Amino acid sequence: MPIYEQTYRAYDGKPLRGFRWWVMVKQELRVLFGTRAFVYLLIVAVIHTSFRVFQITVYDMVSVSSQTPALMALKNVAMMQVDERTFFDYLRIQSSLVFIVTLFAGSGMICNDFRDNLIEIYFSKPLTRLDYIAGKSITLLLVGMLLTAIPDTLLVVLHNLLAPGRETLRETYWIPFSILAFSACIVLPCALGVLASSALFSSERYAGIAVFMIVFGNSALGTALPELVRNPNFSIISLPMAINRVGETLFAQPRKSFPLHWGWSALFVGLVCAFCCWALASRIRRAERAS
Amino acid sequence: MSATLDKVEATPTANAPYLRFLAMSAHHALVTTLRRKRTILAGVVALLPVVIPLVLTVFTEGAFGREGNKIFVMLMEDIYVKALLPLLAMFFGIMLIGEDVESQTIPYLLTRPVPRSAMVLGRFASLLVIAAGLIVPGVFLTFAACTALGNFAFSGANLRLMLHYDGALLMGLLGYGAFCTWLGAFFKRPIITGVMALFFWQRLALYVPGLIDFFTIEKYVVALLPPLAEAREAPMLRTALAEYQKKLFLVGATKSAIALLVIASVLILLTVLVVRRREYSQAKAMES
Amino acid sequence: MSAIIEANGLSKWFGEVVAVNNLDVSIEPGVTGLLGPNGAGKSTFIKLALGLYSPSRGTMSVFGEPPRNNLRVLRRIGYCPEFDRFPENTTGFEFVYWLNRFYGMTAAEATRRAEEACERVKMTERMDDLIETYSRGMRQRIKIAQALAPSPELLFLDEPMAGLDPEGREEMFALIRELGEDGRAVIVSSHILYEVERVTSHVVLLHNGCILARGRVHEVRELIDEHPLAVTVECGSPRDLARYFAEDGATLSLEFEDGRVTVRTRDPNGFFEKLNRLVVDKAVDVTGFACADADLQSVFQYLVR
Repeated sequence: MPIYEQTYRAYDGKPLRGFRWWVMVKQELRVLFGTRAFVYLLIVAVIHTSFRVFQITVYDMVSVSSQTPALMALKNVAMMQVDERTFFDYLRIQSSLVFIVTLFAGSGMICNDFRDNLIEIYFSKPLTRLDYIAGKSITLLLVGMLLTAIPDTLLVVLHNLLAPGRETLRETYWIPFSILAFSACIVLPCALGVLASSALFSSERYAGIAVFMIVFGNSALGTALPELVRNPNFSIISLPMAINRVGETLFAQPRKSFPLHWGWSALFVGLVCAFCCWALASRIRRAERAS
Repeated sequence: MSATLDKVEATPTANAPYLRFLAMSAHHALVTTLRRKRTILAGVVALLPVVIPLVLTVFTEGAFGREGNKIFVMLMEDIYVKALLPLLAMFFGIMLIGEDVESQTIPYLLTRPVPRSAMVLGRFASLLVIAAGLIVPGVFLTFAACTALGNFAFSGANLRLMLHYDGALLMGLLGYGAFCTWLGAFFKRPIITGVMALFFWQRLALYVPGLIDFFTIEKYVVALLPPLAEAREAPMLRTALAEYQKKLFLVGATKSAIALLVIASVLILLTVLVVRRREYSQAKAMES
Repeated sequence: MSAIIEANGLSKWFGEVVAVNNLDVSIEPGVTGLLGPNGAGKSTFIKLALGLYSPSRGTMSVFGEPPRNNLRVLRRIGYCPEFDRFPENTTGFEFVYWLNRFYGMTAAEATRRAEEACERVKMTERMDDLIETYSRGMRQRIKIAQALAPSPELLFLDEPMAGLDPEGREEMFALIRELGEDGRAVIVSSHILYEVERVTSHVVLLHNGCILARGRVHEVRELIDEHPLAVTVECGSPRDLARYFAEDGATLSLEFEDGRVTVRTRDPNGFFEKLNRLVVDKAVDVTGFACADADLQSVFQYLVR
């Protein structure tokens, strides 16, 4: 009885039209939401959001309906105030969680496909390399946006609903755009960095550690170097600080980080994303050719 | 009841000494880790701080060109102790047992007549050797580079300072390494747990008033650092109570060293127990 | 002969899935086939015997001792797993060598035995290449080499024929038979009945974690006497032959193909007596016959039905 080695060949037919990557996104999201630890991490994100909902509700109720001096005093407490800083701070705090969730969700996304020979299966279907990369990246982007842009925008909407009026609208109409841009600044390098690491390393754990090592080492260097050379502009080499600098500008916040023009920070973030995209694409291209 | 089979060649290893298993396990882990390309990444990261004083020597005309001592201390404490040490421990420690679990090759090892404790201890010894092999030369090169700056001569006193840091780092490696080894053996996704524990919990515990900082490794490592260093505590929430507590429950170098030894021993023991008790196998998932 | 493996009321479950269910079995030296479809509990049984799992209920003993974390037992065991995983960046020789070292062998002893084992599975030429470059069959061979290298008294081969080409399979069959003749106990698990039949007549049939039958193939066959036997007879005039058996009360069905008829009978002995008579009397020109379901496949099908 002859024994045939089962293998797959790259699909050489005509690819289907439309959102082919959506199949991958759906599959990845289904797997992620079926993981208990992932759901727990999302619950942690909800705790912070709940606090912000409480803060906005109290602030708006007080400012709309109450004239009691004690409540008016509460309105003036800096921590309870709701303005563009509130939405900026929300994203800043969520960014750590985005990093952890992305690390959790993305570090095994590609290397596990390599390990289990799934790449061959994917490319034997009417899926292109681009669909594969898009599917994986969009999954992580969606997860990241679920923790940043979506709840923060809803907070803006809540603020407008609880304190309706032209004044609130005039003060906040631009914030959703800033939220979207800043969220993209946070989520994109995280998602692409983790995916690139997952593509370059053969182990999920090493992929995770490597990303963390680079980000943490980079931050430590970004903290130490400005002190050593007494030039705060050296902070730009820290990716989190560069992202923060862009955020300060987007939310019209007084500058607390470094004086260098925010454009340099945006450029740095963009370069990091481009490098990760290149690393990711070249690794997948090699795999596609091999399959 | 025991069946024996006369025709079969006797197993040659019936009485192999424990130390042979220990040495062999360490040797195996050492050889396999050194051969990995990713070890080069760890090496590059470990040697990165050396670049800083070298770059600074180019700017020796500036004020910082005369602050070799300060720069060396800062690099040791902010980069090596607080960042590199836990990072390297995580990099090597989590994969010490975890690599075989993740790559599903652990049944090969667990069906060998090697004492589990010898396997874990041998691998842990290899972690210490490799990580120390990256840290100690890194520290020395940083030291040498800093001597190119002003106010930091290549003298006996400064060499002793460097050795003191080396000692503290090695003790820290013991504690962090054992912790990460346990994480890798115990948790399915040890990276997230490790990041939370070492880089969020430790920061939080050291800043918040109270005694919770006793449940961190960094507290004991910092207590081993040379006393000449600058003020190390810069808590975000500096309170009178916290200050009082820190003075009242001050931990000296000897107690810290003992604490780190105890932490390492307990965690390695726990790792051995985990490896003995856990049913590592992929078939469980497949059959489910 | 004393039993090497003994299980009493052995059960193993993972959450709500019962992998092995109240198993009572003893396995003696020689080659034993562990047979059953995927998910029957074969691998779980082997992992329980290796001490990789602890029983949820019941007891398991190997060489008279519980195997879990028992170095005395592990010293006498070799294991070729069914999974296709290897340490990365390792050559075939290094793989076998290091696993030998984990038996406590000295470097020289481990090298000698690794070379011998590689030679025995015909991997000497490629043993210094990285395992990543091996074909599926070569990976299978190197896995078997690591199991053979320490000369264990008891060898577990979990799906050993997977990925081997026909020539490799024949060599593997011969190797397993040879190991059994050496006096070793070899447990071969497979879901392909033909493979097990080639190496042993001792089988343990598992299904859904339970034992369906155990013993020699023909003994197992006797257990199912009440089930019909299908015999395909090749002859010049199948319809004439069929006429002889059609009137027989034990015949359940008759199926015709080109120059052959398959008779399904409830009385195999009576059938063969009658066929013999017909051939001797030259009533029909029989050119050959085969028991279509005398192999383990049909035995198994009857038992799980």
